[in-house]
Amino acid sequence: MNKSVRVIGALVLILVGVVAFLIWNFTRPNRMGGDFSASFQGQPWSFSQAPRRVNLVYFGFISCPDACPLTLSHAGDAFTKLKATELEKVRLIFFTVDPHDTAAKAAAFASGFYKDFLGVRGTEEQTLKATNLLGASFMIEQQPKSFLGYSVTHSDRLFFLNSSGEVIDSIGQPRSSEEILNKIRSYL
Amino acid sequence: MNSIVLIRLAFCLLCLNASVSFADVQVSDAKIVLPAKGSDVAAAYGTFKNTAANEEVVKIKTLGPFGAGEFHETMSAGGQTSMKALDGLRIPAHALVHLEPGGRHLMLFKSKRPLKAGEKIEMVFEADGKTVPVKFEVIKRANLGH
Repeated sequence: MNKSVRVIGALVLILVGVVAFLIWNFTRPNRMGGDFSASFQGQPWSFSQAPRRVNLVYFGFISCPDACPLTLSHAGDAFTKLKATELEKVRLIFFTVDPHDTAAKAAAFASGFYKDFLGVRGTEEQTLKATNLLGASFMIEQQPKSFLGYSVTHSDRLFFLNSSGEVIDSIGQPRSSEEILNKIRSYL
Repeated sequence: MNSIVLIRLAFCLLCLNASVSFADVQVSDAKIVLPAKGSDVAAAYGTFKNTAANEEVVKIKTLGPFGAGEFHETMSAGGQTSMKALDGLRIPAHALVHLEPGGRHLMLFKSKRPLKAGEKIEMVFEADGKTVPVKFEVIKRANLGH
């Protein structure tokens, strides 16, 4: 008798667990994201190598004199306000979408705004994968009359990823260091 | 004799002054932000004022140490940002145009020498056949006050 009760109890618990998992699995937000790779200072780099609790990603290009430096300087301001214990849990990745940029220049560009910002460059395939995973986009258009000879249109959005690479939040037109700082802290 | 020389000198000074101050476009708060590390592209900002009763189109004449420069406009739509090269800077009659981060700006390429914060760089513009020399102060991005 006691044995039967225990078996039935165990089965009920398992059933409840399965039902709870199915409910959670079907009702959780369908997040974008995933692992993506590129080159960092000439070496292969992937998001999953050393993810932090909070990972910020911005897609841009080095010859951008306006939106990209604005975003990165605000993000740099936010990072300088974080405590050492907070900085251990967060990082920023600047991913250039411009094939004219080199990995070395991308790294130098990003670290100019904050010493630990990572500047990476991918192949065309890697760049497309990264932007698609995060729901970003970019377009390179020929502009023969301009000095550069081309223009770059890109998402102006700072993505917040968890340690699994899932997009947990984002800021469009990120032009406030306070907003970036508050969002980082809300996920630490 | 002396009075004639003085009158001639005053007339010359008046003419010289006229060639500068009679330009219908005046520029204030002119700044160049140092390029970011790894980049050789700088952005310049400032306020362009048109005192004339007609629209003026400002063109670049000389660029100091820069190899090239263009007026650009940053445009944001649908979460995307892009830049469009402008064919000169159009200023309506009796109006101000602010070159500022996130909007219209002067994009400067390929400086022939490193720039230093605090230095002044003269560039010359042209509007309606008149030259407009402008001294830009080079500043760090942190001092832009955005």
